[in-house]
Amino acid sequence: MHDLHSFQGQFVSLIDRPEGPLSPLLVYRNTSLNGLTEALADNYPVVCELLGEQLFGALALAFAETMPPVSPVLALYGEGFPDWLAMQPVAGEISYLVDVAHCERAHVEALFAADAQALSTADIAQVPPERLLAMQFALHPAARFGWQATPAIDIWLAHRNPVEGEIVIDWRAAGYLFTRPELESRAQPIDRPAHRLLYGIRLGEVLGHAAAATIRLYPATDIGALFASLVAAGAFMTPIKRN
Amino acid sequence: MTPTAGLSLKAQHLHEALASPAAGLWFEVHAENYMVEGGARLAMLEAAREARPLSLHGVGMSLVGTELPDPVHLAALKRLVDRFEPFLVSEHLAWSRLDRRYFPDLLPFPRTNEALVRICRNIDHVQTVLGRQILIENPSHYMAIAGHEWREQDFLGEIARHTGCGLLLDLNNVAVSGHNMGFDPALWLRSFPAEHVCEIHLAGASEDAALDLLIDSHDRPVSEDVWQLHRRFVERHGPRPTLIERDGTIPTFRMLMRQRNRAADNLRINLKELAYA
Repeated sequence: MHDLHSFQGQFVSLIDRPEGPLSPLLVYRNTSLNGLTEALADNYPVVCELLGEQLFGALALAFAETMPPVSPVLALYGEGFPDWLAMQPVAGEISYLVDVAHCERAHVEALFAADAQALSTADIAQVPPERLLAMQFALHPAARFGWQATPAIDIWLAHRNPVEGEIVIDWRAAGYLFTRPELESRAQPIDRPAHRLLYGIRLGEVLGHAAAATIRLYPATDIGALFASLVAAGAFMTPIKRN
Repeated sequence: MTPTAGLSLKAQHLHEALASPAAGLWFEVHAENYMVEGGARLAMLEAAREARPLSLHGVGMSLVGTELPDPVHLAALKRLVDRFEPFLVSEHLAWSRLDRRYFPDLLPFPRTNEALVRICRNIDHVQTVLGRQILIENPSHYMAIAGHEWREQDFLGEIARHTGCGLLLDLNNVAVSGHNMGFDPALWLRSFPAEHVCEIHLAGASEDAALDLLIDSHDRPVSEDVWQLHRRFVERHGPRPTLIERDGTIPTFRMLMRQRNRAADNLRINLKELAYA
């Protein structure tokens, strides 16, 4: 009789390569792979729509075999999928596919991130502007943003909130911002100044530094309105950290 | 409230589930689906827990193994148990992890003395960390495994005696295994250590015609065979909290409640009989 560990090792190699089409080992193999394919489709629904279920299913299987999960918490399964997808031939055929996958990952992370009170417009209304500029703000735990060469965020939003008729996408480089100030998640495209400001704040720059750098790069920016819009989106956390 | 018959909680049913006046109704969820830091999903569970007793059913602890359970996973389960104070916490007599690779399935093993010792140690460890009893569920079987030194019923009874854990008797798994392995479920159940059973699962199975196997798919109504096993078990051993498990092709809440009420009726009949006895 083999010991438990060597039995388990042999069993895994059997379900990885079951012999013949009628082996009951297929039940185990299929349950495992179907579970992973469904979990990946749950977390990347727009990529699945863009590729069609059949192609997505084949890619999900290949992904599961190359990068099997290390945790049973499948709510967060597929962290490495966008980067893995970038190396597949299909990524060359659909220019925005990998960017959409990055948006979907940011969305999932925003959905399940820790709860925290978001900084509100009322919170900052009480603070004099010069004090505000000297303050350091922390991003809300659910806030996710990035800059992309394609308007993938618009494509993602159009798939999530379908409207009648043809989708018209303003083709440009664009940023995305996902937030979850309450329980509902929010998604929006952001422009370069918004991305620069968020980037600086994430680095730990006080608001004045991040704002000055943003205005130097993009002189037409109404920095007060931009900051207020990011606060309203729920990008930051209370309490305000004083510098 | 004494929990009688319960339902797998589905997000799409939340409002109806919270509004249901059914006496004794309780909810069960897969613990792994709630091992996240925050957000709407945990808020939903919070609302369900305020309304009803809750059972946490784990699918990923991989208790059958030579290593102790994954400490990160166990800590995540402990956080849920501490926060939601479930009346039942359960896991499976199966494995799903080997050398840091995870399989979303419940895999079989030979029931040897070595396995018994290792499983008991792992259950002990989980119960010590959680500070409470857990229940262990009998899995579905799809193929013969060589090298068993124990019958499954005796193996589970021994585990319960050694560790003080309870058992979760999944009657659909008994019916599925009976079909696939060629035994009579009713006869098999006669040697089941009923005194340790703290929860019963009922579900539907689907057929894989090519392999001539029943699959424990949780995607259809409970079969008449399984209803009969339930009635007979309850008549013989008394009522136990009973769950209608549903994970695929989810019907309306009303349809699920119809099955749940049938389970509750089975449990009530027995209570009356006990009262007259």
